[in-house]
Amino acid sequence: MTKETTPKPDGKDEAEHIVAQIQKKLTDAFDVFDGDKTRSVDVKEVPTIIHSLNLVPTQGEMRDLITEMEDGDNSDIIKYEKFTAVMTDVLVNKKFKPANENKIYKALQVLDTENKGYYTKEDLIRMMTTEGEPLNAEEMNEMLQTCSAFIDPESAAENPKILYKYYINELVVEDTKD
Amino acid sequence: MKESKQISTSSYNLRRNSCCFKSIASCFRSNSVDTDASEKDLTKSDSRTKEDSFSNCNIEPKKFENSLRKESDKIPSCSETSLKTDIALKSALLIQRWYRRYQSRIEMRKLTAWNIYQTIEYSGEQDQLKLYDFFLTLIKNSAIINHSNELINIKSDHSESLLLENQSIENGHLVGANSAFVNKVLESDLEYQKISKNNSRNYLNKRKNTEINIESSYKGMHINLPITKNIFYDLIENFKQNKPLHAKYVILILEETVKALKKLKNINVVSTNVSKNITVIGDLHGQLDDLMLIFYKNGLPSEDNPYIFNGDFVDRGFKSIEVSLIIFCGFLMSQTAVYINRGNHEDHVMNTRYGFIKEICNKYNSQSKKICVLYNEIFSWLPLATLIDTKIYVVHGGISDRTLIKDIYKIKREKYVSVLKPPILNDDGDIIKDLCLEDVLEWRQVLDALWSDPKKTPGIQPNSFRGGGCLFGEDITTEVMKKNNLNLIIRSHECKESGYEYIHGNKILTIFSASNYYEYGSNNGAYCKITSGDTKPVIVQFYLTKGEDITKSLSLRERVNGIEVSAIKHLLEKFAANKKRLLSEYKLKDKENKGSISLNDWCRITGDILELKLPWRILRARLAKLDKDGHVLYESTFEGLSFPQIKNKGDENISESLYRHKDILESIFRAIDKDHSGQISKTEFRDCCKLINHHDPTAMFSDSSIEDMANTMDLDKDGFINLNEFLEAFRLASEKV
Repeated sequence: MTKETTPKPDGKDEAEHIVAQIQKKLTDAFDVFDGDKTRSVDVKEVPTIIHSLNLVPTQGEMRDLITEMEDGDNSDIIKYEKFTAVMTDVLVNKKFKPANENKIYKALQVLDTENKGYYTKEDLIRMMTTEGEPLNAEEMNEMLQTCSAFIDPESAAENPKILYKYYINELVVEDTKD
Repeated sequence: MKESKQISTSSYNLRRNSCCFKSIASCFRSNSVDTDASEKDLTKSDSRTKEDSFSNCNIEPKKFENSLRKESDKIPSCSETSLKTDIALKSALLIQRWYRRYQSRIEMRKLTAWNIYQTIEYSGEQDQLKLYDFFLTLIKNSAIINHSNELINIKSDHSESLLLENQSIENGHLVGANSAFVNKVLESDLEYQKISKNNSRNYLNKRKNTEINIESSYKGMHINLPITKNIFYDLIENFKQNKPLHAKYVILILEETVKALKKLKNINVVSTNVSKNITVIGDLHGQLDDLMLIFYKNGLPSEDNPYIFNGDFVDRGFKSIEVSLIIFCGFLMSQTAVYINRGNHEDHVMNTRYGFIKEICNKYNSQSKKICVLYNEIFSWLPLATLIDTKIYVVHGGISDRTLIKDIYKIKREKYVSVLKPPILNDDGDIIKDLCLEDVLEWRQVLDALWSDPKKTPGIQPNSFRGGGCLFGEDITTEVMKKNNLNLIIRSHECKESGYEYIHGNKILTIFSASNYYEYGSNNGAYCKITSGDTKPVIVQFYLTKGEDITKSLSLRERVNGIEVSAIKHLLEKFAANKKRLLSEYKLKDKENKGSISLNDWCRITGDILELKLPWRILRARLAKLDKDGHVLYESTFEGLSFPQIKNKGDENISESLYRHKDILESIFRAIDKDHSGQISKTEFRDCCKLINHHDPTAMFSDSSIEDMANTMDLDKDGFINLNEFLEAFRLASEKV
């Protein structure tokens, strides 16, 4: 992994250079989840690694990716080599890129059918746990906790209004730091 | 205070995913039941609903409607699907995915911070082992130098971690000026072992003659033997109220504990027939508040409510004495109420570095030597494991392919005053000339029990990550459990975010009981309770909250921010300590002198110099700025980093070197500061520095610079350096974090 790659402008080398860069990125992300340093991770961690690489496959595509990575002998563990092979292809072909952030604002507006500019807690829970790829109780809880920072201070404590315009900034803030 | 049996928050599992597919199909029917039958088809339709088609909210109605119509064949209740709900569905999907991505990225940051803590912790452990391997080399070396007849032949296959091997012996540098010092280190090291060998004969008797007087100003409790339930309760109350315990009583408890421990076998055998249950506590590391919380939740130890303390109750935390005395007192009150296993930190080699000896020196200065020696003796007599109802094996670290319970019974455990050194003294305290294979194998059984960790992959390998014991896979666990007729192994030794973790198909359970171990908010503590006849322990998680936070629970994001800032601070200390070497390496790559280098080079150099294997590519954003071409501005890391107190006094190079080695220096100080007074002479300080030159040739302490530093630090010019002041001088102030 420590092999040095010097960028060269001409075609084939450049492609190799890009692949090398992608693989370094994958190695770092993988290593963070490889707690006992055995060049393997728990299969349960794979969705998190993939999401953390700024990729948003559907749940079905996620399953396909994991199936592709699985090793016959032990399906609880994903090995580094398999992970990198599958994910290099994903990154090289720029698959599963998230939609841009304007769309997420629009999406939030769409769900605000009465154009109120805010959601109640119940609105949010209903939207996130009954449609699409529902959040489970734990995820929902975390989401509400994050949202609690974006409550209209003038709204009543028992019926807080979540100002989603500001919540978007929270969801996208991670990107601006990189 | 949180108490739950949740799955780790880290990621959502596949079972949950399949629930999600169902929900798409049923559109608005919430909480659909998980059945696997039609999952495959649903996956297909699912992939058609990805947000790429969601450009500017312009849905392609035809395509989407078709996909839903297909579903509606299966679900009659969903026959009418309007465009409006399509958009709503897609919007929900988009937000959910963004949210999961956001959570995962926070999760990544959290784990990265954990990586930093753990890597630094383990590299410290490795370092300490290397240091003692180095001492071993010195012992060997010094025997050669002195042409002594007692040539020790250490046939240690521990040599995989013997860093220096014979390098310093051959070049003969240590002969001369340093040999006296080396002898001193050797002497003090051997004395530890010899004292405990002869303890019953000489040392204890001698001590009896000198009564310790209790000052009239003493406000703490008084203790008379035997230790009763009331005394045990009073002691807990005493420490709860932050009152001290007089050295006289500390020594009394410790002496009684030694006597009682000597009667025990290497493995505690426990039955839950009478008590109906037993509680297992993992690492506490001197965190008295955690122990108090456990007692509050789970009740005090008694014959009806027995406890097993699975090692590592000392070091790191500030109340190791209090925690250990409560455990010992409980054990003295009733040996069927408290069982104790030895951990890798019940070892004076670890104590020199991780704070327990420092704590003893600070709290019991005048009696510190006696207390240290007694603790060493207790540690050497602690049982190595506990067996519950012959089926559950409780041990601090773990197992190896060699682990056989019947062999562990045969070990002479008291030989291992420190587990980290091969047993080079015989029963009479003389140096063994030839260490035979049997001895080495016995020693390794002890190391395996106290230092090993389980790993995800099969097989067995040396635990080079931490420096001692081994890493064992599920196949090893299965084999050892079969050979020893076990159902479950409970071990501690590793900090886990939720305080516990099952691995190897639920055959191994890790229990760690020190909450907020790395940083406030970093982890829960946990303990487990085993009920008679029940194979599955009940796990209870807990964590201590800082006063003001009780009403407000932190969101994951807030928690992660806290531990991340602190982890980065630890890392920046490493940068500061290696500033000169880092900068010179960076500059070699910066041929045009632009002040920046490629990300690749930066990651490689940083990892190599700091000797830390970390995801530098991810960490870069928190450590250094980029220029407009995406190259790393390597000097930006050091902006605002300095050692304020010694900045203008000594030369920067040597303060950096000293800082880099402050842990090693402290260890050596503690080892040679035989009376544990916390003071060493300037000569000793110089000798330590020279020793480090051999340990790490890049340290390059010159005689004159050491002299300057020693003078700088000896503020009152009495020729002695106060160790606490020494360490204070290196408290890194960083304006950046």
